[in-house]
Amino acid sequence: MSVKRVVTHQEIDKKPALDVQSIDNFCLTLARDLLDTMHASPGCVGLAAPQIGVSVRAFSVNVTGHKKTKTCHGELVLFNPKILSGDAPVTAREGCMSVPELTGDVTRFENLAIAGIGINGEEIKIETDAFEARALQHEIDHLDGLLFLDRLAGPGALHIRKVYK
Amino acid sequence: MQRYLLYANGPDRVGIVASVTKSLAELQCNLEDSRMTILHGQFSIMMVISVCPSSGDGAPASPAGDGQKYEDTNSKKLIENALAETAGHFGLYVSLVTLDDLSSAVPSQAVADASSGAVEYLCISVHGADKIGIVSSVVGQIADSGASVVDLATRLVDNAYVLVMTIALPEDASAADLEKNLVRVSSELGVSCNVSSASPDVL
Repeated sequence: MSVKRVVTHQEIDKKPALDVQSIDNFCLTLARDLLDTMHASPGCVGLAAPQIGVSVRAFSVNVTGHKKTKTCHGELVLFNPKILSGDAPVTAREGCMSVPELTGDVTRFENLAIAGIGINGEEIKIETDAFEARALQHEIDHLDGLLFLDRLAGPGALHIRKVYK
Repeated sequence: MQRYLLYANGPDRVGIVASVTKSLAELQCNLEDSRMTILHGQFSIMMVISVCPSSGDGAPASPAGDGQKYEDTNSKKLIENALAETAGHFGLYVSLVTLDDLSSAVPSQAVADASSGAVEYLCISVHGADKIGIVSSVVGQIADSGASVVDLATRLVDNAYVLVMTIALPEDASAADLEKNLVRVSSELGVSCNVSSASPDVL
C-alpha cells in the first residue's frame, strides 16, 4: 500500500500531463498509488496523477454510493482519457482535494462519453451522466492543468468550504 | 417612490437578516436588490430599499398604518430609528443613503454601454500563492484595456489567493489582447490566470 501526499493547488503542475505510451510497471504502480490514496482520503471520489505529483495522463474515480450518482461504473482507473462527446451543461458545486478550503459552482456536461486505456491495456469507452460525468470531467481537467478555480461561473461562484456545527 | 441604499456590517450572528428585514417590512419598505456576504466572520449586507407612496402625492405611508403621511426626510429618520435597535442588539454599523443623491453620478462608459448590449462580459479567475499586488496588477491591465470590473470576489486561505471577477469589455477593446496581457502579468506574479466568456446567449 502506498498512500501519497495530495499536493495543493499551488504545487500542482499547471502544464498538460503527458500521455503514457504503454501500460508498463510504472503505470501499474501509479494506478495502485492513485487507488490507495483515494481510498485513504475520506469523501474522495476521484484523484488525478498530477495531484500526487506525477504529470501523467491518468486518474482514478469511484462514485459508488454517492447521493448524486445515477449511472455508475464502479472503481475506474483510466490512462490517456479523452472526451468523445458531452451535452446538457449543468452548474453544480464541487470541491477538490488540492483546494481543500474552497468550493465552486462549475458548469459541466450532464451526459458524457469518454475513451481511455484500462490497467490491462484495453481500450475503454464510458458513457455516463450526472455525478460520474462531473467527476470524470473534473479529473480530465487536472490532466490539462486546470482546476475548478479556472472554470468558476463568476465571483459569486466561489465559496468557502465551511463545516457548520 | 423614495429609494435608499442600506449598508450594514458587524460580527456575524444568527438573526441579523431576519431582524433587519422585519424592521423594514414593518415600515412598509420594499426590499429590492441586495447582496450579503460573510468575510472572516464579519457579516456585511448592502441593499436597495424603497418606500412606496400610499397616495399620488408621493408621501410614504405611515408605518402605523393610520393613514398619516410624512415627508421623505422623515421616512429616512424613521428607518434609521427602527434599525437603531437592531444595530445596537447585534453590534452593527448601519448607514442609509438616499439613492437619488447617488444616481446623479455619471456612470462609467463601460456600464453605460452595458445597457445597450455593446460590451463583452468576461469571467477572469486568478489563483496562486498570496503576495502583495495581485489584484492591483491584474485590475490595472483591465483598466488599461478600457474594461470595467462589474463584480469581484477574493479569498485568502492558507496563503493561497483566489481572485474571480466579471468584467465588461467595451466593443472597441480586444479580448485577445487583454487575455495576453493578463497571462503575462499573472506569469510575472507566479499565479495562474484563466479567462472565459461570461456573455449571455440570448435565446
